Amino acid sequence: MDERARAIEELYRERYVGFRNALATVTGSYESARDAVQEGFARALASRRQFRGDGSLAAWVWQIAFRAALEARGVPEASIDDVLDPQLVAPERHPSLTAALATLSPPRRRLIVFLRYFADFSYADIATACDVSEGTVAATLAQAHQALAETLEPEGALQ
Amino acid sequence: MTDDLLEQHFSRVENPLNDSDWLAVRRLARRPRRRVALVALAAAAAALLVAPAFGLGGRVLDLIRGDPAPTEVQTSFAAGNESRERLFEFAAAAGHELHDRFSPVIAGEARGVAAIETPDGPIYLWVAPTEDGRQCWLIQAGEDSATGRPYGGGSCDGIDRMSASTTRPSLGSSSSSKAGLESRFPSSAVTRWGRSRSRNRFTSSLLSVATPTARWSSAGRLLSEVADRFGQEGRASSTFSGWPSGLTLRIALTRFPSASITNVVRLMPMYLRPA
Repeated sequence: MDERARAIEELYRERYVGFRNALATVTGSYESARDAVQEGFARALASRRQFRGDGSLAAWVWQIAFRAALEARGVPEASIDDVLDPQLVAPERHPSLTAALATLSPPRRRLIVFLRYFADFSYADIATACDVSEGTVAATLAQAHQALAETLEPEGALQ
Repeated sequence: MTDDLLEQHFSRVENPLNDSDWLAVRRLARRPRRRVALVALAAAAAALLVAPAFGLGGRVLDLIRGDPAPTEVQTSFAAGNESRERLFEFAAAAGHELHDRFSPVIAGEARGVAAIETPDGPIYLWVAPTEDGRQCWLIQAGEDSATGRPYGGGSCDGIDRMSASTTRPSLGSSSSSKAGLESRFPSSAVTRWGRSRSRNRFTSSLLSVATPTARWSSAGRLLSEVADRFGQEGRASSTFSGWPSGLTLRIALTRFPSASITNVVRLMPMYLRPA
């Protein structure tokens, strides 16, 4: 196995759960997210020579897995913004967080938040994964923090 | 609200279950042959559907062929990879950055998956996997008598938007004349299709389908369309008056990226951005 394949395997072993949880907010279930992550890593492994290293490996694999998830739903790439509506898979487990996330619009902002807190992506990774600038990521997360704080902080300490 | 606090909120809704399976990923990554088999089934269905469209008493010669493609066909697939590399170099030299969404073709794994017999000779459908699990395909209707290079056209699955191809640098002829086309398909080049009428009809059919606005989702669909056009051209005209419009022909011709693949229509969507 070559070095890049080993890096992809290492990424998979370390980050699988985060990828699946973040992608589940797009697919709507952990099962379909698992399929998409498996497919994404398989495609990444098969086409690893295409990775040019101009972003992180994690962001590159995420993009592939994200496309696989959309393909599984039959969503054309051109219509992503029309159908993308990331949501918590089990909103009943944290109603106030769900309510706070609902205030984030457009939906792509929620995906940035999920990538940050589920997939543990850096700002740079999110920028690459979502094809936006790091400044946009920072601004979006700052707005998200503000919106979430307004909803969540009145709750006081974590339960 | 800090990152840490938000992380704590999100940790409450995380699914901690680790149901990863790296071996399954590796199995999926090695699946091109299986996908080719699926394409073979699709192609077989397409062949059954399109056979009547020939209107020439054609019959399905061999629905599924799993045999490896001959060296000449593999070389044609490989030429697409080389062409792409040259195109990237050409664009870089011109100060542009090309972004190709697709991986190289694994030419050595090209397989014959279908063939349709017509009175003028067989039309073959060859398929080769790409490194990212897609398929590229080539519809062959003869070969160069000197080199054995296949005569026909093809593309890759997943390439369904052609408009971007008109924005990239033109590396081929923009001639719209019959002479221009003939220079690319010299009559001496075709052995199986010795009768020029059939060859011309096939070329016309292929080029009329290969327009920048065409949307192909599979080899089967292209095979169907080519066969359908072939039948129409055969009934409508046996001369060059049956060519598609000059504009269509011109655009199709400009897509030939280099001399090495002049017998194969390669259509690769790319995004052209200023450097």
